[in-house]
Amino acid sequence: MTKKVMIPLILLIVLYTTSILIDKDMIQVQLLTKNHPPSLEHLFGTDWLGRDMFLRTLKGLELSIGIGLLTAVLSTMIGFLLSVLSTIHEKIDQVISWLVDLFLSLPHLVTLILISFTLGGGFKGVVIGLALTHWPQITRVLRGELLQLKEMPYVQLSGKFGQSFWWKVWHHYVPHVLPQLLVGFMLIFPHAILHEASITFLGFGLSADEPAIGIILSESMQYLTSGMWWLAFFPGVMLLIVILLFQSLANSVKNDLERDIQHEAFIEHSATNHSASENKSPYS
Amino acid sequence: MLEAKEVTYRHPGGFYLLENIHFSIQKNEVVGLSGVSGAGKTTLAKILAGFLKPHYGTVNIQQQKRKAHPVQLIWQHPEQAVNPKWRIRKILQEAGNMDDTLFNELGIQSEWLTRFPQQLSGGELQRVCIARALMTNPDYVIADEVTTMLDPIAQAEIWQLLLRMADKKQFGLCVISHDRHLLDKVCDRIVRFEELSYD
Repeated sequence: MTKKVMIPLILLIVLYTTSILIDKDMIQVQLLTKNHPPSLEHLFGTDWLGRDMFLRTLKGLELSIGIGLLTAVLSTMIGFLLSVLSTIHEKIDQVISWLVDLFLSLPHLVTLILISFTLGGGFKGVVIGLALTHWPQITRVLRGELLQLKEMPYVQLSGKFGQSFWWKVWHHYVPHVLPQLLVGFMLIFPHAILHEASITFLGFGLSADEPAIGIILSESMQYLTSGMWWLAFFPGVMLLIVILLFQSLANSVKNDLERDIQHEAFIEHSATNHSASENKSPYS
Repeated sequence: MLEAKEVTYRHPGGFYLLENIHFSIQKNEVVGLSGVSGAGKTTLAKILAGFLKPHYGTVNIQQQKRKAHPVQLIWQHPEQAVNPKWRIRKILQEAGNMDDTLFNELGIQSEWLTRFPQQLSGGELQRVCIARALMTNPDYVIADEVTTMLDPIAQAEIWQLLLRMADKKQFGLCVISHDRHLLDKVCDRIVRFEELSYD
């Protein structure tokens, strides 16, 4: 792992663990200190109930990161499963392609709001809604890859050696599309967080008592006109930072995975064995 | 006996490549199949080995039910027939249990096992592919131009190996090549591809 992978990864882990460590009792209503602008005592200021915005923002990020990870895992799994199914038969492939096109043709946010609203909102509604709307892009990428891989002689031979379909999936397909899976997963994550924040902001997502970033942002809108800019500014910036960190992580992991491992191994191998194999002929 | 009857095949949307083909091969027999380039020799091989389905006609194989396919095809290009991301050990394990005596006979050295396919020469990789096909204990082996890209010494070695193994393990060997001299040398019986179809 290179430095470019480690730095955003460590920052994200630090951010997440500190936000877990924050107790909910620390974010209590303290009317004596309400509406304070940012100071050393309250880094991000306090809100109209005197709650410390720094702690609230971190707590909100914990929820957002949790939802982001969960939905990204779910969407990636749906995408992989559907693309594997589409390699089984042409007809299944047609149905899945049609589903992908259908979901891509609908505006993301509308589907998300509809699904989340039908499921009654809340954590469950948001997670299922996000998972069910973020799979089409990754499915399309994986499907193309797998359909190509399926035709390779070495994959077809696998069946003739008596290996089962799921053995083939696990040993040939998964390693082959692992870079796409990981990168797809990491690209869905910021998307999911932003969409979670936006539907919560619109009032279709999480309930108002949970300290999610979307709730914080939507509440702060009422106070912006009275000059309390810090209520929206800092949570928004923190959300942006987390997303940028994750995106840079995704990019560096992608670059790492796309390194030509065999080529590097080949160069290494020929460098070490060159002197040894030079005067050795198989027919001598 | 492996028998293809009235096999007809065309590529999707294309012309008929194989029309009414009859072909058969006995166990413990070495049959040569010669024909001009593009005649459909490889397509027939793929049909016999179960990679393609004929549009018409049947392929009959007398055999008991088993995990691996009774007809194993050895591909012309070994580098396409192995997963480039796997080490040789895993490539061999895919076909069944490791068989050290077989590897010795085929001249597969133990230090190859930890290498990637790109780190072996064409001849070495072809031996790996032959080993893999033989590990499934096939009833028939189809060798589709397996030595075309090799130098004469490596070619001779591979054919000696294949003939010895066919004799020892009693499988039917079908040799596909356009090289008449090679076929004259290794085969019991030679059929020309053009003679396979008659109306």
